Amino acid sequence: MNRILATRLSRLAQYSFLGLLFAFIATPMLVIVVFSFDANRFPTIPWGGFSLEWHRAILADSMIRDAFVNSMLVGGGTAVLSTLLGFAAAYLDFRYRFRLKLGFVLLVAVPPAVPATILGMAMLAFLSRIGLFGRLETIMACHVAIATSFSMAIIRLRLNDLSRDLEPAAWNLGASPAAALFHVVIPFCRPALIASFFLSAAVSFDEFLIAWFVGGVHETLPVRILNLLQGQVNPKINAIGAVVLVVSVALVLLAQRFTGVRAGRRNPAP
Amino acid sequence: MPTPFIALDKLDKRYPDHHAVKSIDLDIEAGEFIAIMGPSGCGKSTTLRLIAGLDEPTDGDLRIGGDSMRGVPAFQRNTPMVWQSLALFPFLTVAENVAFPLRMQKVGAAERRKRALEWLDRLGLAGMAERNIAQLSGGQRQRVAIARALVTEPSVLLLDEPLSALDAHLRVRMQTELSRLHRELGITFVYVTHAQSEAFALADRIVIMSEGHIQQVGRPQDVYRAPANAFVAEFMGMNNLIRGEVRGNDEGMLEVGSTLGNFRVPTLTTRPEGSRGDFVIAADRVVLAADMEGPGIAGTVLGLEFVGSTQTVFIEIEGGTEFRVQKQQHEIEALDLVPGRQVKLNWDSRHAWLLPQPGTTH
Amino acid sequence: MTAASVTTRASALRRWSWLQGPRMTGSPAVLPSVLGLPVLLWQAVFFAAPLVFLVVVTFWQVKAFRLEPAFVLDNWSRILFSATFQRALVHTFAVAGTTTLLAVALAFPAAYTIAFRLSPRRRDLAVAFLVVPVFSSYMLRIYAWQIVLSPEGMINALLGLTGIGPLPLLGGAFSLQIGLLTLTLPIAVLILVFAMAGIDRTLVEAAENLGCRRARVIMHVVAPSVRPAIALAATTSFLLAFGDYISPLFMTGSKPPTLSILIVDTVKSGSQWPRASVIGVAMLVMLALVLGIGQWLSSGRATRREGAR
Repeated sequence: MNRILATRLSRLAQYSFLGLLFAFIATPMLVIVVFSFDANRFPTIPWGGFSLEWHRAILADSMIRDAFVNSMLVGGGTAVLSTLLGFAAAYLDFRYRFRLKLGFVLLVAVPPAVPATILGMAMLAFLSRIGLFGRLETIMACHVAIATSFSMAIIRLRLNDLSRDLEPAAWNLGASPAAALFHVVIPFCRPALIASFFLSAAVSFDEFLIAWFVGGVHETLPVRILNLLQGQVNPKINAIGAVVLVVSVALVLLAQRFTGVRAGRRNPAP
Repeated sequence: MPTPFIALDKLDKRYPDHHAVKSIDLDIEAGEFIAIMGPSGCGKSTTLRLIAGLDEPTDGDLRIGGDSMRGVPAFQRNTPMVWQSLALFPFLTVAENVAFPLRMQKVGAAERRKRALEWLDRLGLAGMAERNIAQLSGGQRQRVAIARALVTEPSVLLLDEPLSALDAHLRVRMQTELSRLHRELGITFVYVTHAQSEAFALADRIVIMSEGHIQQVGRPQDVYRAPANAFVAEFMGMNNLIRGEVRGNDEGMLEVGSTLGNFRVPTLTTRPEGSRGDFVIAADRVVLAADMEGPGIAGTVLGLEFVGSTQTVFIEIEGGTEFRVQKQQHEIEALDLVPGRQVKLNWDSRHAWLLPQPGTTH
Repeated sequence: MTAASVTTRASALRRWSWLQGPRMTGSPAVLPSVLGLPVLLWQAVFFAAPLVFLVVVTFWQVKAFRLEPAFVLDNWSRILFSATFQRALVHTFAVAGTTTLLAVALAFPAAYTIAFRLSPRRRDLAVAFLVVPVFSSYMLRIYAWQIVLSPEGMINALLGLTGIGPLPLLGGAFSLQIGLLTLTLPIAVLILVFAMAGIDRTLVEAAENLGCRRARVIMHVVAPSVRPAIALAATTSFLLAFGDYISPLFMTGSKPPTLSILIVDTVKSGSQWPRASVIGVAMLVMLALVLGIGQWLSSGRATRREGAR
């Protein structure tokens, strides 16, 4: 009797704790979205009533519009390039043995682990020396260097499921190694390629420090927000924030839809 | 003598720490159905991969239709293979799988579809063309893999344990199917298996391999009745090997002495006294008798095992030697063979098969 | 037994040889080069070269606001011996260490509940929910905490109704940890969930049936099997908290400064690139050390367990 009660109480405690933790994670995102529709200038309680004023205001702000377009260009370019490079890296790792392979894999995998402040400063210092400072393409190139790590990880995971016989079977049926790559390996990896596309776009869309360092006058949306945040309290921030949040959450959800990574079905290597 | 269609000429494959195929010679005639058998790790699958060009030989030569294949990549050989894992492309439909080799040959879309559908039809898969691989049964997938390998109308088909994933019933049906295809197409089939029943049911000739060497090549009945050495005799399973030495020669018969007694064994040549006189007696040639006073070797029944309509009786001889004897069910019942029963074993001397002396060609 | 081991060996070798790729006579490794070179070049130019250059710049000089090549150790000695740097270093270590402890301590029970108490469907949903914040809008979420915690913010407005407050929630160690946990907690939970989902459930149930109290099951069955994951969650949390710029900036107003804040300030004030680079390189060295120690702790213990068996 006591034992059952104890078990129930312990379960209740566990679920409550988990609920609190999820609330902690969800609260900031909800706050942004809810207050973007608040008529008050300063977001607090009580709510000042529903308003689309700030959403309209950001549409009229040309700097925000430009920043949004920049973010789209950088994000789109990053998504395409890092998916291509990530696939190449994942396939090389999967398929070949070569000298200094660990070094190659680390060169692709490590960038996200370097604090963005340091990486941004280093990129700025080096790239301005070779004349690449302050261009939209430079922001994209730097984002690719980071996002390729995630692309490689997602695609490599998919390649683990590629039966070892499938490529030799294609060669055996008349496909050259390059043809087998295009007609067998790439179609097999398609869900992971799509996931990688969306995830790299999300990584780029969310990155602000490197973009801030190397972008010069070109502001991406998060850089615009960073600059707004360092100024006066501005109710537009909630409205842009809501837009950015919706876009990046949508990108991550799309990426998840195609990875099929689930706890328990794929265990990390021991 | 015509040149063989596929010729393995001192073909050799070494891995860094494993010598998989040891300088083997083998000629395969056009249109032949040849089965390569042997225990796991004997080099049979490597041999098949060497023929397909999926592995490069370390040494020796491989010729197909008279041309050396050294340096010819797999995709230019047209030696399609049916894989043990089937290796069907999961992201393509049934028809697209079958049309894949034609697509690699840059055949036009309409033509490839027509030919794929023809082959699906021929293998009893009409109406399945648009299905996904995941929607097919094991037997249907097997047929797709065969259709895909044959769609380019090659002159050789390689099969690597193709039926091992199927249940017994389907396996027999697919055997019949393969046999029919081989007859109709008249092309060369090279079939790797570890299942004796498949090799015996299908092949014109059987190649027995062990530890990278070819132990024997011959028609199924030859390999069974006239094994070239102790390995083949024991690998065939249904043989009893008796090791002994020659005691004398007598008009085409050798006198052989062994721990089980003295036996007479037919021979074409004479052998000096004291030399090896190992011989085999097939399991279905052994006669059993319940009368313990009669001639023969005394033994005790250890157990029985069903193999189709016949049973294999395991009999232990004094001294630990084990015999296998194959009998029909009614004979088992007539002799009341239950474990523990004492029996006498005997056979007609003419049925004994003398193993060639090691080092001599047979 | 021998037959089986021969099979494994032979098939392992076959795989091995296959991994070498098709050795096609007369065609050197064209395909791998075509695939590998662009990646190699890209990462070399946009990742490796900047970091190498960062190390080089630490020995350069700034003259009349211009960066000039030189080989001086002045930057290193000035930064390493400056009180500001030393204080920031201690502060950053303390802050990141606290976050690491909090993140692992809070993530462990949550991950346990997700891995062992939720149905597979709900577990998938929980994982999906946790992945979203890892890749989206960290800066915005910190801004949201700012408006929640500020003196006129949501919490103080609610407290005001009850007559308490306003409490100084924003601008101290508390708000800084809220910010850093926003960054680290989802990842720490995810790492532990993936590790725990890999534990054989029957093992846990068997231990419970044998009369192990739940606390003992966790101590003796769950914790040892996820020890490498705990090390990974801890080092990841430390790495993120140690290098973070946004939480210190918005949650404490940069006071006292962390090393990241110091870097940006040093760059901004008078183009002191070499000195900022010294801080950056020093941070990277320390992170590498921490990662190395984490790796050594988790693998060292695993080896010891293997040996005990």
